[in-house]
Amino acid sequence: MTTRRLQQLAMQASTTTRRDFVQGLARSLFGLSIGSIALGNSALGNTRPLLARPIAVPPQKARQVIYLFLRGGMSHVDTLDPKPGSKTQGPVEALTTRADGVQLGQYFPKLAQQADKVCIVSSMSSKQGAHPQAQYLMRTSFEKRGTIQHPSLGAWVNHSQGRQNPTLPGHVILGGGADMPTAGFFPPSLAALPIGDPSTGLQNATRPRPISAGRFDHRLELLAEMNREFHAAHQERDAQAHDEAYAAAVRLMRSEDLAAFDIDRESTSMREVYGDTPFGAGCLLARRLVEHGVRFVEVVSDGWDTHADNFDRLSDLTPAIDQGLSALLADLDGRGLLQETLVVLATEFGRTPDIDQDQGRNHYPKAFSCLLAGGGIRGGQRYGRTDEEGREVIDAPVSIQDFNATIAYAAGVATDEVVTSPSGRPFKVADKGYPLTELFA
Amino acid sequence: MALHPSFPRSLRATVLFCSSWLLPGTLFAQVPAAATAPPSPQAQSRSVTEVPRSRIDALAKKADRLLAKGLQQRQLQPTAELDDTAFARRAYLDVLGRNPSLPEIETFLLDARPDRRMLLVDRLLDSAGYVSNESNFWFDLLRVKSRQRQLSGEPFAHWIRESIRTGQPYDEFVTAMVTATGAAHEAGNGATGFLLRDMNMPHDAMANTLRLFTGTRLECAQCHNHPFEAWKQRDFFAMAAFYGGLQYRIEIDRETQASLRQQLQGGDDRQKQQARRALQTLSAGLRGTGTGQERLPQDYAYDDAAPRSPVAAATIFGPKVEVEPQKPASPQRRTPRTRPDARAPEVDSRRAFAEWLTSKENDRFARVIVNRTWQRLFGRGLTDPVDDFKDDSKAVHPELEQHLMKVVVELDFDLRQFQRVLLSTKLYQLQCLDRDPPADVPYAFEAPLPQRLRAEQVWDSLLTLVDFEIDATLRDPGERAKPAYERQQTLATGDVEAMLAAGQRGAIQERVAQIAGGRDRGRARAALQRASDLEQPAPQGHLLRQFGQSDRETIDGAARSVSVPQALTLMNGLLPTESADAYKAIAANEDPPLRIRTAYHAVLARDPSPREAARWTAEFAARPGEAVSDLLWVLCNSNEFRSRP
Repeated sequence: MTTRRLQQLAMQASTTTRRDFVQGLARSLFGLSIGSIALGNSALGNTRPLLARPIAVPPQKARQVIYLFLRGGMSHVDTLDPKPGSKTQGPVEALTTRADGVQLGQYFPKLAQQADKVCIVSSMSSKQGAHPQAQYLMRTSFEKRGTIQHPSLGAWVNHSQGRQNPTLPGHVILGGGADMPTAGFFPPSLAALPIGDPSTGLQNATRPRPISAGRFDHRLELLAEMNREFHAAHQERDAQAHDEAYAAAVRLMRSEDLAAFDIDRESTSMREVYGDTPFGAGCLLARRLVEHGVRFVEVVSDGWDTHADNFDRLSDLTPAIDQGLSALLADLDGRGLLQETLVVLATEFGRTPDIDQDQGRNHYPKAFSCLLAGGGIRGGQRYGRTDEEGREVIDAPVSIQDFNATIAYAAGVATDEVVTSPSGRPFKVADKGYPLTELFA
Repeated sequence: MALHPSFPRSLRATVLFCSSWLLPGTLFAQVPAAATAPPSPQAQSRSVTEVPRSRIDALAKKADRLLAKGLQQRQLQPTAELDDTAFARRAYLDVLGRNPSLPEIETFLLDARPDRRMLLVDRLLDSAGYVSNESNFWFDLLRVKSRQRQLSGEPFAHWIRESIRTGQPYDEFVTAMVTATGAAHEAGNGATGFLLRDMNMPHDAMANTLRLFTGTRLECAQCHNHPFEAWKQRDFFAMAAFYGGLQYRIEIDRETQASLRQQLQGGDDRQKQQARRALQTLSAGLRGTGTGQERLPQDYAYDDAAPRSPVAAATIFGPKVEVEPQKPASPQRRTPRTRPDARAPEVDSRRAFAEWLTSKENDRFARVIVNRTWQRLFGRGLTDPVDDFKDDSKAVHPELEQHLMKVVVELDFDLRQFQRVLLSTKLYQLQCLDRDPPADVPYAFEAPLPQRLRAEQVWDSLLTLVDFEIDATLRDPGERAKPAYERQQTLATGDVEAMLAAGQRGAIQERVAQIAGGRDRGRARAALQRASDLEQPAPQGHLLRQFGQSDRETIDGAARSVSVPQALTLMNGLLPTESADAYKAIAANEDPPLRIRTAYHAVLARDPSPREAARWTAEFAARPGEAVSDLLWVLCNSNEFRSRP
């Protein structure tokens, strides 16, 4: 990095040079050769693997992943795993759906019509009941530690599969907060591009009008010169990441696919189908992005930590999810994209089957539900079971690692491949998780 | 520029491209050499120099000696000393939370006194900017939010700012939060905001309290025995019992309640809603000094006790404190809406907990604040991480940590003086490490670690380019809380009509608009405020959020990593324009070398290198019309701008 000009970097859309660049970066950052840190088929282009893989890669069914994350812990009993007639059910009723034997909570009428496309995993189970730790675990498969940052699932998928569109980022997160999943020990270029408000899309992606293209390029040259001097005394990773982000930003400004970020290009009726909510806009933008080849898009929905007034709040929260998710599934299907796009609905834990005195439900990692659709998943099924009150998993328990391994498997990431971190520690995409191959058609 | 979404569209262009009306058109040339800012309402109530410099220096020297000893043992060499300008930029960023303005850095450069660095440190610690910067630090740790459903967080924010401004000792600050009772929106009672932040979740409140003030992580034991530590789930409940019986509604007088309830039953839907809101606002607060008792959960799975059996409050580390819960005087009546525990007699267990927490014998209390402060200035804790102490956690320099723990106690938990000690060390004057430290050994601090600027530092530094006297715009610490106080007062009068009016949604926002001047100009001014004076956290989409300001959902939730949208914003979205103070100051010079130097001073607080000066002199010769704005663009987008020296 220190020996290259930002300007040059920005101009280099060619994947070969990008790969060289990653190698150079790897050496300068980690003092290691590319082989020993197993960067493999780098994220920065659809290139041939740099190393022969020692292990078989699963057949990639999902070219891209849309990961919908309900932050705060979604109550499983009120949504994906209703227990009609039990004393834990509360006021939310159960709906029958298009799929035999698959019931949903009453706030999912639209999803009920799409139930033939989804697989509900209702036997999720973990031991982590604190939000930040559980969210971290869900997104990385590892316990949160002070000593290392693990890459998020989106970074892994990009690391393993590379970009489909070299001018767009491989990993985008919509509506997330500051505590975003990171690239962990992978190069910072694999970190997600964050977009706070999906309905306004990517801001400031074009040159301010008075600045001509030539003048802008000249500015970049001057900036690169200035940064070169700075790097003599700043070889830390964060300083390198700064230039990386600028290079990626300039590449993005020049991308012909910039319109992917603009949901105003969708018709009003399409926007209405997805719903006039941040989550609906997120789902619509996610669809545009995967259409343009973005590998991994995460959409975050907040507010699921329903300690008090659980039922009132779910009646506010759930319809947006029902509408956005259903629209997404139908739209992807209609465009022939559902088979190659894995859609995931995840949350960090469930909520207590017992209802407390504030009409609330509290953190409950022991049993909860997530959902998979598309990407080769066989629809219309429920995997695993909880007991009649939603307290215990009584059939086919699924750990968070198993769940993530299944996502990785669908996306073509070898779950048994060991990647060594710069500090020399071995990691696998889903730790000890094992993919649920039986979920696939 | 990322302005607040509610900011009038018609005015956006004005702010971005012609912000002269924002400021009394001060050209740099007219700014007097020193003490530019008029006294601000946030000025410190006492000068830091009440503790003599000599005492601070002695404490700092001892810290230096202990560090030197540790480095010697490891055969590590300290890095070279920073030059004056880099020292000044570092001190401004650390103490005021922003870059020095052009007049400030040039004033400092004119100072020839041998002790100019420490004089600067003392001056900064006395200024209003210090309150702003410390507020950001505590807002992040305490997860301060301006709005938390029906609750206003502004009284809490006000109380924090005021505690900092008046120099409330840290142990008293913590005690006030842990023992607060009464109405949430009553003036002066903002400390209730701490426990109300985890409203209806007393267990989370206890887990958060212990993490914040003892660096001990018990969250895991909320649900099960701790997987790696000796803590049992039962131990967690013994700690949680100190918050036993805590209620998040205060009692309101019967008449008021009755008349509002009547509205709730009789009125139309809108009136009902207003009445409900009024009732919620009026009754928000904390009740109960603590019963010293908590019940195990229904699904308690271990053999040592039955589910739902009561546990008495007892500390599980540090000095042993136990509270004897008392039996209810008469058989309790249970209704579905009351907890049986809530009716156990109050035994002041929160007070007992606060005394234990802040006592000098509970060394984790001092240890965590020492490490947090050290981390802010030097990049990492002496014990790392700073808030996850285990029994075997060891500081990289144990003697140094011990010394600093003694210092903070000796200074009676005056955190400003404690920072002053660390700012007076030799280590603080050294250049940063020029690379990441090795990951496999604890870092031994032969140099401060490099740090990226936090979101607040980026925003406030950009504002400083627009307005050299940005700190003079800092408002009265309680200004943002006024609407909440007034609303509470109206409600407390018992006048139902007034109460219903106050129960209307938007009553608060309207009042804010009035205070801001009621005119668009006033609102615009409100948007260009230092981060600590804005809504907490800034709304989604604001530059602060884009640059990693915490969403205030988790403790210490801010991020400093760089992202593509940040680069796009600085490249294409935001730049100080012709009417910004910095631009005017640069343009006020005729001579290109002087212009270049002025620009470097204003943005990076240093002289240009000879090579940089030559490069830009050529640019000025070739493109005189564009060079000033290009230079500002390059400096603001530079890696160095985002990096703390």
